[in-house]
Amino acid sequence: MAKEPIQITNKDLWIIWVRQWFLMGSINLERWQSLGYAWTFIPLFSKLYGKDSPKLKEALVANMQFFNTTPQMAPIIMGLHVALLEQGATHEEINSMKTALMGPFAGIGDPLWYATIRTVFESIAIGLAAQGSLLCVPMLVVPYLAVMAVFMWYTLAWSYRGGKSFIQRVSGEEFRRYMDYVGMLAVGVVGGLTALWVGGSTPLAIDISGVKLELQALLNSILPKMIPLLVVLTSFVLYRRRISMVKVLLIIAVSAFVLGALGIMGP
Amino acid sequence: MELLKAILLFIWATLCYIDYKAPYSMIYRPVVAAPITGLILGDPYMGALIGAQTGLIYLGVVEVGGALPPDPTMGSIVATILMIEGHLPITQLGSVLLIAIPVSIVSSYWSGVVGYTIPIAFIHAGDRAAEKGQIGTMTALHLGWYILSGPMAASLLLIFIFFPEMATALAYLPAWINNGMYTVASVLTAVGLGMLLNVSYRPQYLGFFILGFAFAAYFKLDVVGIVVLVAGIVFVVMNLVSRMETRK
Repeated sequence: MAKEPIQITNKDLWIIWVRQWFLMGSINLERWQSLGYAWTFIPLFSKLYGKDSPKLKEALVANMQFFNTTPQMAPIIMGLHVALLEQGATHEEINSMKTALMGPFAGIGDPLWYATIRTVFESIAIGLAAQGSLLCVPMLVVPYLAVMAVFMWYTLAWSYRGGKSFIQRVSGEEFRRYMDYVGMLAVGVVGGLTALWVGGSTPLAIDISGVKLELQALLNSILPKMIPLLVVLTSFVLYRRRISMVKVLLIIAVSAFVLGALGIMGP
Repeated sequence: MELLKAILLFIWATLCYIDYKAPYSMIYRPVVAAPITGLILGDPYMGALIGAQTGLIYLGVVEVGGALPPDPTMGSIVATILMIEGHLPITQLGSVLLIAIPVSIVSSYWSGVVGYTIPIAFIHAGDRAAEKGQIGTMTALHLGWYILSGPMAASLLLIFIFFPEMATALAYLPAWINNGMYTVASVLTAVGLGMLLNVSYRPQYLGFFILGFAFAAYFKLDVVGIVVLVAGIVFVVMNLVSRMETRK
């Protein structure tokens, strides 16, 4: 659908593959892997937009958004990202794609990598260690690294090529409409993650003539996860009013600390 | 303990904690962390036996999306130090774990809550760098915390080696401070999600936010189930839209 496709080479993908290993480098409770994601794409953005250009700044800011997935699954999302970028998608559309996919890939990726693949190698290593064999060390580290390296490279290349050939097949108008649907899915995922990834509850209980009424149990019967929803909506409304990111963070953190210290709220 | 051994243990623990961030080669799992700790202390075979037993305890402990990672590393390193320095037989591991497990609980707070809160400052500095297109600053911030997070998390091991009582002191902080800190940690993700909602939100998408939230909150679905259901509804919407358009 794009008019002037930008030339993406294998070398660009290779640089992304190297950098994405460090996706978790600055992982944090607020936006998780956001800076790691933006950092992974710095060479590609610099190549496409040129250093110090307004478009580079725009691209970097757009990719500082909340992002969190199983790191081993991130190359799939990154490959699609490159394909969309190459075919001229906007940063907003790309953000929808990232948001729609990060949740399900975390949902599939954590059990796959940590509960299945790692457990297999770790069980063998534990068997060796129990016999006092020091082979337990390479038995876990070497195959796990190898499987991961191969998987991450092939999923990156595969999702880039697959995404590219799909986008080239659809017309520009169709593509915009599909991205609109991805936007719907993305907002649905944010709704789901609000209930799944944000904590917060109340330990308050009221004593009515000897019967202890727990407020959280009452809330659960009306709207479970009401407190996480309220916190997300509060920060959303604050951002809508163009309050700066640092201020929103401080408002939420300080009020949570005070409410927690007073025993009105808990984790 | 000799200073040299303490320094080597600190370096080893630092490498383990850096491995949590990259490249996830799993040296932080007990089955690797304990034998190498044993090697530093002069008895790698004892380390392997401890690694096998503590490894089994932590085998089912799996990192899940958005949750704080539990800390199998500190537990197995501390247990190995106590066993080898105390010249205890492997049958005594149970009593050693009574000391090692509280330290590992403090450690998951130290590396998983405090260590996941400090880099928020790096991220906000990264926002300013991104606005100005300063890619060098972004690199310094990202890799800077990546390197610093290791010694930061491993510092608890040094505290344990030199001042054992202090390593568990965090557990004895006044309850109100602990409650406040854990509450903050539990809601900080909402700040990032609120920001993401702000950029992806359009009035016509509101219904999908409600659907996603309701599937999780009322039906207790995981994120894969939510996406499948919401995608199904999006397909219905797609169909209706294209039918309406052909009717025109």
